[in-house]
Amino acid sequence: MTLAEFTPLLPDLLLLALALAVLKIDLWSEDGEAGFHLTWIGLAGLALLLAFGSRSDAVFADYHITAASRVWKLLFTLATLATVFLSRPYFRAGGNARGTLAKSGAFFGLLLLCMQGMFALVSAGNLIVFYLGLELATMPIYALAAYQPRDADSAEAGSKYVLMGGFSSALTLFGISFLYGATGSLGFPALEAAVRAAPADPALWGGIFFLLGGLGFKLAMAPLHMWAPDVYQGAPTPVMAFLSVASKAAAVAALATLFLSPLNAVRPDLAPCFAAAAVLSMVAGNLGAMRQKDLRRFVAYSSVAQVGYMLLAMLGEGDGSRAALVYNLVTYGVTGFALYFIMGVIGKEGPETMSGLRGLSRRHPGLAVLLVLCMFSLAGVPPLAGFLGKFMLFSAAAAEGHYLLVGIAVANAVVSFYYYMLVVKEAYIAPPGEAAAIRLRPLQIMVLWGLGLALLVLGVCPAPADWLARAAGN
Amino acid sequence: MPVSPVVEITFALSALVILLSSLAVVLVKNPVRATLLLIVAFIPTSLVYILLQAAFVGILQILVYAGAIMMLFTFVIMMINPSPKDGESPAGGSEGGEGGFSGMRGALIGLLVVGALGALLLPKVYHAASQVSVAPVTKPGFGELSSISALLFEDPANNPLTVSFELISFLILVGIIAALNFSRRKGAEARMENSITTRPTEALPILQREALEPK
Repeated sequence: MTLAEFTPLLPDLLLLALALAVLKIDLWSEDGEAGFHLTWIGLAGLALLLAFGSRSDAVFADYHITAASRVWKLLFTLATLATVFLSRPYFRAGGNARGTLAKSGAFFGLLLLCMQGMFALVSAGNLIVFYLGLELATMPIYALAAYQPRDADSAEAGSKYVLMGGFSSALTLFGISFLYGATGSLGFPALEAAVRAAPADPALWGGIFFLLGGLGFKLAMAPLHMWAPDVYQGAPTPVMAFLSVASKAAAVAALATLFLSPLNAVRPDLAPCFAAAAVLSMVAGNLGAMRQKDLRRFVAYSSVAQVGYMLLAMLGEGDGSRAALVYNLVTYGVTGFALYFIMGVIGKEGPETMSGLRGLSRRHPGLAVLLVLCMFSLAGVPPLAGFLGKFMLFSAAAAEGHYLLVGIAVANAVVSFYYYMLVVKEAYIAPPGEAAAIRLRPLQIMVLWGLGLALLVLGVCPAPADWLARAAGN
Repeated sequence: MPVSPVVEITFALSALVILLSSLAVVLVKNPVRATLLLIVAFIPTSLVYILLQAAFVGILQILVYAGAIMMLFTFVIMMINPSPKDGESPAGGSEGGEGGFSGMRGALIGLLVVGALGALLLPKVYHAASQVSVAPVTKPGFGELSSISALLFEDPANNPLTVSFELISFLILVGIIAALNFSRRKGAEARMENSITTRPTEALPILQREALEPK
């Protein structure tokens, strides 16, 4: 092989080098500043490379570099970049009321290795790479969830996630072994051919059953979502952000990788299963979110509901579904991170709870406006990003004639207005306590403006959606 | 081609021992005994591998799992030395507790799920298995060390296992970083605690200390 043939593989190799460099530089630097700067510069470079770099597809021994995989990778990179920025104050003394995180080098290194797993997941050409990517995308988060030092909740989150994650990995692996038994092959092309030849093979269905169970846990899809609230609540906020955006995107990507290409032939038969999971997730997430006082728990339930909406896309035809999923994850990521940055700001002085938002409209009017935009976007109000994301999901399902399901989803979206407005009520109407005005750092102002603008632009300007649909569809 | 009765009997016996000892692993209360029973389950597993002509994997199963990993397990258990109190299952949950799926109710639900799944899958799997030809593999060197290493390392540029092999090394790296991280934390915190206790305010009763600290 010549050097030029490796060009499409450059982002993946660069990420690996970056992860190792961050881990290495942490050994020399005292305060972890070098690791932080190396990480964000490296990730920004990686994002540019993925967006504007080599466009050619390539296959390296069952590791497929395609346009669709590049879009996913770009999504993972941006989500990790936002997580890195979000985590910045949490490593500073006094940056968060819950306590300061230590050892930023290992934190960023684990995040990057986790990303490497996600990269492998979307580039997988056989089931072993797929499984290992899924594992590598989950294992670092076990450690990260327990990162808050001397915190019982964080330790509980870590151990709960290890147990649930281990269990779901075992299920996934069991399912993969069934698929191998049924089709006699681990490679995706051979798998696809075998599934098309014998779609009613009972061993194949055993495999699909266990695979769906394992991935359902990772996705926090109801009824397999019960770990999510505890883990989200216990984990440090940046880790929660990473879990709810990047890790969720990875799980969705895993689902799309398997069920939109090699197992596509059986997807129509699976429609009732996806539909039931979608309805359950929407209802469980929406009902759960109504009663939450803790913002991290609130995010967990609201993300369960989002998974319900995203499962609708699994009912549509392949290309449209993939584009809808990616676009919805982008809008959800932008909205989510805007909310998490606000949580980070109020978390500086008090707990990250609903009552911590009290009087936000007086303490910092701009922040309160952004919070309203976030909530409207999550609820799916038209001019904002969340609306277009939801619209694409619903239309993907409606295009295949699942009108009843879309009706249920719309009803659920209306219900979700109620609790999203509760958050707005805390910020604007609830009697404010005696809290001082909030001062933001220049970096925070920049990031918050960027996310706020993205919320508006992604909602009104269809160009990014078109681009994603073209790129992810292929 | 029919399988020789010796193989059949060996397989049936191994399967029985595996099933019984794995059940015992879960049911036994003493964690050290559970570990030892797990080793008991590994030995017939390696026998099954050998029956399947994968002698090398069978030997690895004994060497690595029974020999090395379970020893580590035993060390860790001895070090932590958990002694389950009365009425407490080794997993930490209390039996027959209110709410949740603990104790008998959990076992019942588990049995139901497993039973239903088994009833659904077993006949089909049995049918599928009966269709499979049981002729021994005639590939030269099958299951030997040389052919396994060829499978893993031959022609790395086009070998489908190269990427997997590298990914496993990342997984191990993650494990090392996480383990280091949590073990190092203890040391750093102990040092921090020492330095804090030398502060004069620490010696004061809590009420007074709060009064001293500026709000």
